[in-house]
Amino acid sequence: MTVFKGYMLIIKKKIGVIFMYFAIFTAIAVLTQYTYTHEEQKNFTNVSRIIGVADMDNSELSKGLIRYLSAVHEINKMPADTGKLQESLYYYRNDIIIQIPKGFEKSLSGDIKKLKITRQPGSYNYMYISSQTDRFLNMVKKYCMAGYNINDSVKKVCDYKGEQVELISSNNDGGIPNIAYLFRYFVYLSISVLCYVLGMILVVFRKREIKNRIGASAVSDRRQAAEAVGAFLIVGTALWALFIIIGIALYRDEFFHVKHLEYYFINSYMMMLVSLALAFLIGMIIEKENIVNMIVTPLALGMCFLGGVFVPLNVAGNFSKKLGHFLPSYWYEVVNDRIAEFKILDSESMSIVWSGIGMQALFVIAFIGAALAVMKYKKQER
Amino acid sequence: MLYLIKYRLLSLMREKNIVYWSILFPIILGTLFYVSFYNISDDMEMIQVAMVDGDTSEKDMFERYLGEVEKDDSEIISIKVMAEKEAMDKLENGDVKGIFYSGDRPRLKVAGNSIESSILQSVYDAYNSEAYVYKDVAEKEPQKLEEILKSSYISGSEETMLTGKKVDGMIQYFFSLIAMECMFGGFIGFQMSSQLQPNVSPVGARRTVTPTHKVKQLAADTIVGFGVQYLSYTILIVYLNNVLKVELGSFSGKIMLIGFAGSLIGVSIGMIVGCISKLTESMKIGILITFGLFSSFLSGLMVGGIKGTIEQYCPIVNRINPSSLISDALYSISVYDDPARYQNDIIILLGMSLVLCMTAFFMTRRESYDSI
Repeated sequence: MTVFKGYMLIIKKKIGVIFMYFAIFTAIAVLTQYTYTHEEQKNFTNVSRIIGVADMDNSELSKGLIRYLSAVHEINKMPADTGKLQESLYYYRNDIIIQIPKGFEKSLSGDIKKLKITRQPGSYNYMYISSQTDRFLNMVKKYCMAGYNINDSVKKVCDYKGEQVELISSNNDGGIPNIAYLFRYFVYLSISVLCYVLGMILVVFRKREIKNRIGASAVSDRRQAAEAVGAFLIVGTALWALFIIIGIALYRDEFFHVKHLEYYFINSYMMMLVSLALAFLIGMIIEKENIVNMIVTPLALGMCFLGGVFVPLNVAGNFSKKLGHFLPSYWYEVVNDRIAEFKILDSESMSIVWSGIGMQALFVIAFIGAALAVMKYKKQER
Repeated sequence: MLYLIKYRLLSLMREKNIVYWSILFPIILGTLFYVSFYNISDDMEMIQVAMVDGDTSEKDMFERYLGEVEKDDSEIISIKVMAEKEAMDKLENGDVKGIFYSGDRPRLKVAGNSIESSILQSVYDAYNSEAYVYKDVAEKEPQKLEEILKSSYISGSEETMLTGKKVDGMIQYFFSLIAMECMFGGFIGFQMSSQLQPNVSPVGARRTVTPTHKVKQLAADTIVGFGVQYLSYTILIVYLNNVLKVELGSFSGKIMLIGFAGSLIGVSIGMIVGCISKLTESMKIGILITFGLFSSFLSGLMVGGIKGTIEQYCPIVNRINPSSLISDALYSISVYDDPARYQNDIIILLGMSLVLCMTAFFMTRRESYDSI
């Protein structure tokens, strides 16, 4: 077990750096899932928004609009001061700003003076709010044309409750468990930490004098490889287990009651194996420690941006999705999304899940194959 | 002095680490962002919806309305008529996002809360509200019905920025990328301070035994380090603006002033890290990378909404995190047009840089060594 002990010795020596990488990337993964859980839930229409309204018309129509919106949303009345409005958006005190222009009511019968709606950059609130303001204005306008005055028209519109949408309890009800968000970011944690750590260790083993010493020892190549694989698996499994423990600490009971927990485990363990294989390949190519960071940082970020980790697959552009097919992170996210969205995994879902896991397994084989080829080439070169 | 500057510049530009982290890495990441966000809004897929036929006259009106929505230029929904059982199966499996029922009372069935079901609900509400008004008017003012049926639909709102500018929602990722570029200027600061300390690097040892005054060496290092970082900032801005055509706003003195303050803070953070002589080189590089990434993450490099969450729960982080300050300053000139906020950000960045530079200077001055 000399080689195995060698790996463990280097890990012990570098435990400070390893711990630092683990802590930072875990913090990023946890904070990201926390933010996304909140942001994505905000995209559903039944959640009210905080709307800042600057009413420059101060008419019956503008007051009616505010009353209509306040049935669903929280309204902050704001002065018509651009600086104050900017500040409220800037400090997230309002999700959206509506400016009602002077002469708004008078223009209803003719060419309407449009409401100016400003949203937080990066949010999707505009369509949601504008569909409500348009509905209000069209209803009021029609009542006015029918001979009602503004007051009565506004009252009629505000009294209208609308039709209920029927919600069915289904296999795919749009509800995603919070744990799925945590597992979504496992890719970043796994690739970053394992590739940094194992890349650094392999670089040590690639130093000429160490390589020569090992080469001259009585330990066979096969045994060396087996002990190296053992050390890699222990590091990878330890990281995976730590991640699971963090998940349990964050979600406690919810963690054990989530549907398809076993598939979350299988999928994330497979991703961990992909990261190990990738780390092995990186370690074979690179000869200097400072190059490891240069390769791993853009690689991890690139795989996450194109593979649906930071930009979810359902909103990613088609070109980015096509590129994603060539990355293991994409297949991991396909599986993660499927088990998160569906309560029951029927045969179609199961085939998606297993083909996603299978694709990751193929990446493991491909990375190891490439690493062995590099290893052989470098040996011959020597 | 010029001699010193020339050779420090040559020495710095030969460091692959510096060239990579300060110039190449932000360009690689910027290109990745561009690919990830390319046509993100135009590529939205149509929402698949089922339509279950009713058996009364009103179905025609609802169906016609849905037909108009389907034909609309924005191509939001795609409707397929099918039997109820088939529609329910498809809704269960997620193949369709909702079922419209025509008939006496048009209905909408959805499988849960999602963006798609919210959009379907908007389509359904628009029809119902119109139908409600027509029915109400037909009952109470029937003579006016024809007139209101002829009235056209008004679109009563427009999306604007408060300054009148239109801004792409994805721009925030590029602002954070620029902030990260400044943070990775830390590698230059790290290199500078390492090569000034005899117990850290052989170059430092050689430079220490020369008769050149340390203040002169420090001044030459600072000018070169800061200059290289500022140049790499400019390269990134030109690349984003002119090659990727990311609209960062006008290529103004204000953006360049942000680069000045950002480069200064990045380089000075690196100097501080380099001055901690007890740490190994790999640990120092690790600190620079993780600090740069984490700081940029908090400013929105990976998740757009993170700044809002931080503002809600721990606003002080947004006031002291250098990356957040840099991206805020870029927001202030490109999105909000808020000179007061911009000035605040720049003053805080310059103040922090000054403190860090002074600290680095005091950490390295008057060190004496019995043996190195």
